Amino acid sequence: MSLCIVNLLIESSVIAILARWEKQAPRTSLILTCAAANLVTYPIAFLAWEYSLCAYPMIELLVIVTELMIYRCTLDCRMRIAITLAGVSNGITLLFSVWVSI
Amino acid sequence: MLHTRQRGRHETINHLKSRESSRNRRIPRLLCFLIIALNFQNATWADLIPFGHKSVQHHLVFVDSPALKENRLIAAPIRGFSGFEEITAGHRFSFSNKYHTRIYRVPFDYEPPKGVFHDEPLRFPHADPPVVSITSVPIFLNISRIETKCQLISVSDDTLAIEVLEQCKLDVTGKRTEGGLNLIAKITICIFGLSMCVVIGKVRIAKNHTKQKN
Repeated sequence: MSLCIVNLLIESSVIAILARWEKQAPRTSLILTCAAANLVTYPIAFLAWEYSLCAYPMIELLVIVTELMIYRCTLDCRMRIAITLAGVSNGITLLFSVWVSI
Repeated sequence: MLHTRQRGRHETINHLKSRESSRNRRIPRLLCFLIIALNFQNATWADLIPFGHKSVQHHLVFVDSPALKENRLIAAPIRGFSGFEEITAGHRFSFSNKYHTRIYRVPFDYEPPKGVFHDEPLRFPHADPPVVSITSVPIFLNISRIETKCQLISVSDDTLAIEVLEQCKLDVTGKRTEGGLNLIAKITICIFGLSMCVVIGKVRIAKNHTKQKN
């Protein structure tokens, strides 16, 4: 659960920065949607990883697709904006968090 | 007037055609992404530790059985730098999906080559480990290693029948431990997230309606 909260914090801060970059105040609904999207995707992604249902990049791709659909439906924003929100926030989380041990 | 109307119609048709062609271009791109992602093998990503996870050791232990007494087993990867390992009852050994460890039934007088030997595959009955190796667990769980107990059931001409008895998660002291959220808690969080999405969407629609009325 703590991982979910950390993930959510990173993504919501990225989204807040993105919203400011697009010269918009970070709306509460945007942050709440980010939280909701993470609450939906994180348990499913965790289960998929735990039971090795599919490869890690596939899980990430599915998470991005699910999140962009949630952004599109909930915020009623353009597809391009939804893709940017989901892709950039998840991409930055991934860059922050993945390390390789060989 | 007629000429202008026809030109307008042509423009609309051209606009629709360009939109359709851009959509047609998007579908193969999406398919390419999906195919690339599907082609990533789990074994290729075995060393990847995702966010907030720590690496753990996963071992296999064979329990004593009549089939194990009658046969001699060795474990060997088909790639990498590890060598052969003799399997005896109660002896724990590590395995890897990345280096594709296989379990072979070899004759009692067989002398495994020393060092790394992957030039040609061994021509003995063999089987893959019965479980997928777990390489990482969430960092907040007090699991330091995972042990899967299995049993050799039978040996045929080309394969081995191995049954998984149980999988134990152990802490540093070797005690059994369980951790993390259970399945019901995960499903509850997921449903809560979905309902949050619905509520946010409804609130947004209601706000839009009020704005339109004003």
